[in-house]
Amino acid sequence: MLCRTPPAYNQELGTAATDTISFRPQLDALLTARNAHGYTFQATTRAHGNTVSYLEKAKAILGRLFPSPDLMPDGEGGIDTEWVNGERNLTLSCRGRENQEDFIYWEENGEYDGDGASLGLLLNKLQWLNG
Amino acid sequence: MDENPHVPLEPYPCNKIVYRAALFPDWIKESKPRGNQISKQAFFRLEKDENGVTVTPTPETCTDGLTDETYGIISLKVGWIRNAGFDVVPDRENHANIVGLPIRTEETKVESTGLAGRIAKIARPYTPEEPFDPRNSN
Repeated sequence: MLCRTPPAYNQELGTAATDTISFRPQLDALLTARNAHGYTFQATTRAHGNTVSYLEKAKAILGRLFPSPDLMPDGEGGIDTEWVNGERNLTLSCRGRENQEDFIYWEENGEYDGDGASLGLLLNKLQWLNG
Repeated sequence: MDENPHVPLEPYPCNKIVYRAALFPDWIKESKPRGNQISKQAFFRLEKDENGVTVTPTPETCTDGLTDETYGIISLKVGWIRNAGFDVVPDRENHANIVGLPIRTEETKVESTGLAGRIAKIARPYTPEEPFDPRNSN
């Protein structure tokens, strides 16, 4: 297991994507999800675009090691992309509004932490998830 | 006799089960081999949730007042909610709030996610034939 983020992982979102994600239809479906009960389940184009960008780039780098996630609206127009492996939970939270910062949340055995989203952190945590 | 209409309702006992409607299809997730799991998003406290996250004292009342579609019922034991560091406070005969969760803001988003996850872990899908008892889980 890698303990440090390799230099190649320090690319940010400007990099061109070279791979596609198999769960893209589910992701796109969130753009037309029906809002209900006072929740904004319909993803904003900001949340959708950022999610696609992070996931396509992570998939392009990790290839078959990229684990398939669950996708969930956060109720405020954002998209939570979640991975679970045993007691480890990783969530990429792409937020719905411009004044909200995307973040990455991780949890193990009830202890949790999080930080602003970046491709490097996402790749590092995906390796942690699989470690 | 002085009658006060704002007499607080009795606190729920720890062995009481409360219920929350699943307002999005994937709030109750199929998961193998653990069985169905509850999504933490079901317990995000948003700005609209002024007094906490809504629960009800019976499964029959958890859709009261809801006009949009629901996707099942989530059950939680009050004592387990308290053990996790929160409380359940009834504010009407058929309505209560889980209190102690921070409203999800830029400052609290990580904590809000983590605490919602703690509640989701002690929640179970409700089925009338098989009442939830956390002592029998896992």
